[in-house]
Amino acid sequence: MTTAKPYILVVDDSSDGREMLAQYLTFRGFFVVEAANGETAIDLVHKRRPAVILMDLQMPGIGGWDATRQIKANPATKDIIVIAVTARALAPEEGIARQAGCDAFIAKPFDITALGDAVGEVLVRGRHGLVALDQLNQIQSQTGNGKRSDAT
Amino acid sequence: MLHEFITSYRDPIIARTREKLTDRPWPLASTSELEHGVPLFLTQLSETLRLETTPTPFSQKRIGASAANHGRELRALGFNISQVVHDYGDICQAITEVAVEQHLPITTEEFHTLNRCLDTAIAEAVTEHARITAESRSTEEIERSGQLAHETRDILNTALLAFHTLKRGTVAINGSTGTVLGRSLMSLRDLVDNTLSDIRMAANIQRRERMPVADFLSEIAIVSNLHADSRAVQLTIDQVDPRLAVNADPQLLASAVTNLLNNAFKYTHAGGHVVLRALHENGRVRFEVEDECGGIPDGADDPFKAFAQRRHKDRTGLGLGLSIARKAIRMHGGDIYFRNLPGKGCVFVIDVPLAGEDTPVPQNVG
Repeated sequence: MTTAKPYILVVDDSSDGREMLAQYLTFRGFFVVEAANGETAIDLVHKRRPAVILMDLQMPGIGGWDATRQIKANPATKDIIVIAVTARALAPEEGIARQAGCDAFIAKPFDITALGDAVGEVLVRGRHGLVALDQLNQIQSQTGNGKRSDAT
Repeated sequence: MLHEFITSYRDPIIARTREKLTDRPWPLASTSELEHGVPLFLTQLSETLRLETTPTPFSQKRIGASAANHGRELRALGFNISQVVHDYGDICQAITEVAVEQHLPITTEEFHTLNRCLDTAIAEAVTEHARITAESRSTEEIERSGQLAHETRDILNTALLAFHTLKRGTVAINGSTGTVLGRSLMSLRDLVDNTLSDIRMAANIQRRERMPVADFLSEIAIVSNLHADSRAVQLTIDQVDPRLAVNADPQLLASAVTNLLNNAFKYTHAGGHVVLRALHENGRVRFEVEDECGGIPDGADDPFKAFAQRRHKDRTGLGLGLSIARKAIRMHGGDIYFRNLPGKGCVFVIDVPLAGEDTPVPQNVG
C-alpha cells in the first residue's frame, strides 16, 4: 500500500493559468503536479495515479477530450476523477466533455475558493464529493461567473 | 409570337448568350452557368410568354423559384451579385439581337412581359444570393464572437487567480504573480484593441492623418516596453529618420504594429531581443519587427503560415490578430510580409505608402 500523498494533476497549455491555479491549490495544502499538454498528462497518470485531474479541454496535440478518453479507456486509470476546466462554457461543450468521460465540468472564470473547497471534497469523499462542483456550477449559472470571488 | 421564337431559336440564343458570358472580361462566367443556367432560364421564359397569351397568366412564382436556385448556385460557386445581374442582362441582349437578325417583330406587350420576367428573375436571384451571403457572414461572426468570449474568459480567469493570490498578501506585487497579472491585463487590452480595429474596419470608420513615424514609434514604445518586460524580452527601436511620415489611421496602424510586436515577444526566448525599425524605400515605409524565435523550420514565406506554425507552440491569443492587422494595412494601401531567418528568428514587415507629396521624401534612408 502506498502512503504517498494524493495529488492533483493540473493540465493546461496556458502556463500563466496553469501556474496560478497550481499555486493556489498548493497554498490550500494540496499536492499539485502540472502538465502542459495531453501527452504529458497521460504519461504522468501512468507513472503515478493522481486523485483528481483538472483538465483543460482545448490544447495543441492531444487535447483534453482525447486525453480523458484515453485515461477512461484504460482499466487501470478509468476511475480517476477528471474535472473539465474550460473557458468554452456553452452547453454542447459540457456534453462533449462528459461524453469523453469527464466526471464534472467547471467553466472559467471560476470562483477559486469554491473550486478549492470542491476539490477538497472530492479528495475526501471521492465521487460523492462531485456534488460540491455541481453546486458551484449552479451558483455560477445563477449569479454570473466569478461573483462569489469577492466574498473570499 | 416571342415564345415561339424563343423555342424555335433556342439553340442560337443559347449560343449567343454563351458567347457573351464567355467573352465578357468581367465578371467571369462559370461552366455551370453556361451548361445549365441559361437553358433553364430560356425554358421558363418561353413558358411564361406562352402562358401570357392564355386566359390564365403564368404565375411569376415558378420563374422566381428557379431564379432563386440560380442565385444560390452562383453564390456557392463564389460569384457575386454583379455576376448574377449580368447573367440575366446577357440573356436579354442575346434574345433581342437574334430577334433583330431574324427580323422578328416583337410586340410592345411581349417586350413588357420579357422585361417583367427578367425583373422577377433578377430580384429573386439577387435576394437569394444576398440572403445566403448574410447567413454565412452571420455564422462566421458567431464563431468569431465565441472565440473572443472564450479567449477573454481564459485570460480573465488567470487575472482573477493572480489577483486572488496577491490579495492574500503572501506574495509581493512585483514578483511572478504580479507579472502574470500584468501580462493578463495586457492581453485583455490587446483583445479589446483588436476587436475595436475589427469593428472600425467593418463600419468603415477611419480617421487618417499625417503621422510622423518617429513620434508614432515613440508612442508604441511606451506600451510595448511594458509588454516586453512582462516577457523578459528586450525591445530595441532603431533610430528613425525624422522626416519619415505616413498617412494613416493612428489606431489601426498602432494596432497592426503592436500585434506583430506582441507576437514577437511571445515567441522570443526570455532574455532575447526584439527590434522594431522603420525604413524608407521607393516611396514606401517598411515597419520591420525582428524577433529571436529561432526561425521557421520549413522556411515558409507566408506570414499566415509562419504565424500558424509558431502558434502551435503557444495558443494563447485569438489567432485572429494577423488577419485583422493585414486587413487594416491593406486598407492603407499596404501589406504584411514575412522573412525567415533560419536558426535565428523571423521578420514581419508592414509595408505602407510614404505620406503624400506635401511630405518631403528623404534620400538615402534605409
